[in-house]
Amino acid sequence: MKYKILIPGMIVLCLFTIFLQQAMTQEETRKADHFTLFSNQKRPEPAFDHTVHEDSLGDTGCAKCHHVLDIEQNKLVYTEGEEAACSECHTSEQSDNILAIREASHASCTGCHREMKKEKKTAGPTTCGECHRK
Amino acid sequence: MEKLDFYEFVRGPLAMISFAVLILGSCFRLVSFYLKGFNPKMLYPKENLTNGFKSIMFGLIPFATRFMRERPIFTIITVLFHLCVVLIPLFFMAHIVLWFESYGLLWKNISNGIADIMTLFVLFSCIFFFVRRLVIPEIRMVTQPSDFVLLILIFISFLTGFMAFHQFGPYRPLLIIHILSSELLIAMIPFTRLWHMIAYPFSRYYMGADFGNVLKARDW
Repeated sequence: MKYKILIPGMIVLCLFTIFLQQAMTQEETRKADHFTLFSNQKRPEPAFDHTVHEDSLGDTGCAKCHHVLDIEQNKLVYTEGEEAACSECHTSEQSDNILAIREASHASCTGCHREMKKEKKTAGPTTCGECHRK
Repeated sequence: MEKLDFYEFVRGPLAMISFAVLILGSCFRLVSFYLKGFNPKMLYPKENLTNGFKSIMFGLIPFATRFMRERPIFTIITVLFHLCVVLIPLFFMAHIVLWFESYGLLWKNISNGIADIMTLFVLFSCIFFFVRRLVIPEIRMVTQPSDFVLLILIFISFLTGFMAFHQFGPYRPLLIIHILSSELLIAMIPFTRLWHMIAYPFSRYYMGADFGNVLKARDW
């Protein structure tokens, strides 16, 4: 019996089965209702719900996302009453130090969601397809 | 106990483990290479720099060696396969986004349409290589189980990646299986035939130098 192959093989197979069981019992999100090959370049736009974020972050949470660059201090600061939409500064291409909307969104949105998940709190999506839903 | 978020587990700690295994395993194998050289029974290739490097170079250029010229279809498929299988993990947008999320790294990407075509070609190639390995006798006789396992793993990785991207099927499980199978492949690089990525120049140099000096022949 080729134990040199069999034993590591069985161990890997057991681990893979355990992982597979975990993978298959994840909460299902959504099945796509159509299938497109060679789809267009960009992923679908995420559906952003501001109210959900307002409720979960509370009155003092606006600064988590809304910011402006303070040139003298060279920092991102929050000024109440001057909240703008992300796309007002973050366009589709990076310009100087302003990240493109894709990088800014991933850093801000998924960054926060992942942090919260690490703290075992309920958070928004962290995977690609759960935000960019078809 | 909180149910472990399996996606975060494979995306974070398990990814670091697989890369650690890759790096440490590679260091281990490279150091073993070096130490094996001190064994008095080791046969050194006779000095023939040109043939050694020529062998490396000719092996990299499609149709440069007789072996490749005698198998044109296989050569085309394998060259394109290697191109796709290297470009997609490195330059597909979703992968770059993950590196950006974790470490702020960013680099240029290929378009998603091209990645789609490349992925489908990789899937086709895996099936081609699998069938070829079963059908052609001189390959079947030297085949070991790991040859098939690797082909299957690569197939699973690219298939689940493709399905997850197009959100065709149960999204989260597919994504997790994709990440798992890919991490398995990464961790297996130093310990299987995938090591040829790193070992190629060394093996080819040895063969070239040996053929050149001892047999006074070319090995390409």
